[in-house]
Amino acid sequence: MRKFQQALMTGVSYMLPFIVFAGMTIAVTQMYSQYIQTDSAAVNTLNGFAWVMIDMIPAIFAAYMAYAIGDKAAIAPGFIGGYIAAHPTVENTSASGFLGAILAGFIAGYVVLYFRKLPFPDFLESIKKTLFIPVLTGWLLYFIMAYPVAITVGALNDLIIASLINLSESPQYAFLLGAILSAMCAFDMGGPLNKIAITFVFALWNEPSGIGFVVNAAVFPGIMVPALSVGIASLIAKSKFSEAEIQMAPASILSGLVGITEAALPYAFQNPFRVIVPNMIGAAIGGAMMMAFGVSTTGVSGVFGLPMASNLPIFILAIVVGVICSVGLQILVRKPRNDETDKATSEEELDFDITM
Amino acid sequence: MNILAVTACATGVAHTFMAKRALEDAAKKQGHQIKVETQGATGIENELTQAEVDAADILILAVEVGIAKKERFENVKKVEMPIGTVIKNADSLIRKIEEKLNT
Repeated sequence: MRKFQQALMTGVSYMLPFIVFAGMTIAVTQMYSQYIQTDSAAVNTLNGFAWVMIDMIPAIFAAYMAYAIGDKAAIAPGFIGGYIAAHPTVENTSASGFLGAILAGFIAGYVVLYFRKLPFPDFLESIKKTLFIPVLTGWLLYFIMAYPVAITVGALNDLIIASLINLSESPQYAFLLGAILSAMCAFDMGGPLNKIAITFVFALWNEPSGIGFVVNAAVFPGIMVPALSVGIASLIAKSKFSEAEIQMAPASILSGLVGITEAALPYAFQNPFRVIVPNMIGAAIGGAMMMAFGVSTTGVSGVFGLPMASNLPIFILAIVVGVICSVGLQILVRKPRNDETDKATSEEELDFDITM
Repeated sequence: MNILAVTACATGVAHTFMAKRALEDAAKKQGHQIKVETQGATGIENELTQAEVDAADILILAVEVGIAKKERFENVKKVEMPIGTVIKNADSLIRKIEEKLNT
């Protein structure tokens, strides 16, 4: 389990710079087109390229997830599998999305690990590394991802997206959808559930009804509330947060503002329930407000959504209310920090083996 | 003791370097030699060479993500610990390692 978690975190860690690049590029180029010049070919091309990068993200994620398990040789098959998760190759199958990418990274990692341990005659050892592993694992990943995964997980991914669209089309439940999407984003702070919600939003962007930009606004509290709230809470209630947490607070608040939810992860690792539950509640309230008022935006990533918001006061209010709820709850449920007992208990629990 | 360590966290900006400092402080306080390699957001810094690894008594892996150039560490005694635990307990961790190595 620890290995799996480590692999997931590695995927996220290597994927982050790509998301930051693509998200920021899209936001800046869209603002430029809206406010400064509508038809700059150079800016439009840059915007298009950023979308190509968004398309590559599942492949990059799977590649580095595989790398964490099977080392260097697993990058290529992981990439191949992750690419198919976003771009199905066989007719009548669907993109399996991030669920598929996680599977691809996991399978590629362990398949390569297994191949590397297979005993080969000495004279074949170098061919094994340069030829057998890349080709065979690549084919294997291709077939696994293109057929069984694209069919089953692809259908599951389609089902998730279809039921969410269904929900968004009934006005009396729309606020519920906003709450759910935002809470999903806040739950794992950039993890798979977060990515399902974001993928759902992006999948709706080319809907002619414009619903894509409404749900886009609805996830902003989910993206911004967690990192903002942990930072603000730790600065307000210094006695309840560790020194490390207080030290990270400014960076966390800044990350929250620009929409990098992952900054809340270190806080959540230390104290999962007391961080995640308040964040989800705050995010849900904000998301429900966005949807209830039908606010839309074409911006992505944090404050870059502001200039493009259809109803700026409500947009800001929804995020502020979400943050206030989350900060209040976090401070309420936290016990005062106690360095003495912290150290004493952990010394007892500090158990490890020395391995070769 | 001659201690080596590698630190790496998910975002590679905060915990990676906090763990480095905690380990360096603790080792210095107890009179040990230490060199800490960080694998943060910008890549490897203060890289451990193969010669240093071969001469080490113990390697502490304070890692939350998969790390690069693992092949250097195949033949060295090592301890793997969550990075949060290392930041909090660097002192007692090093003390316990010394105890275990001496028995």
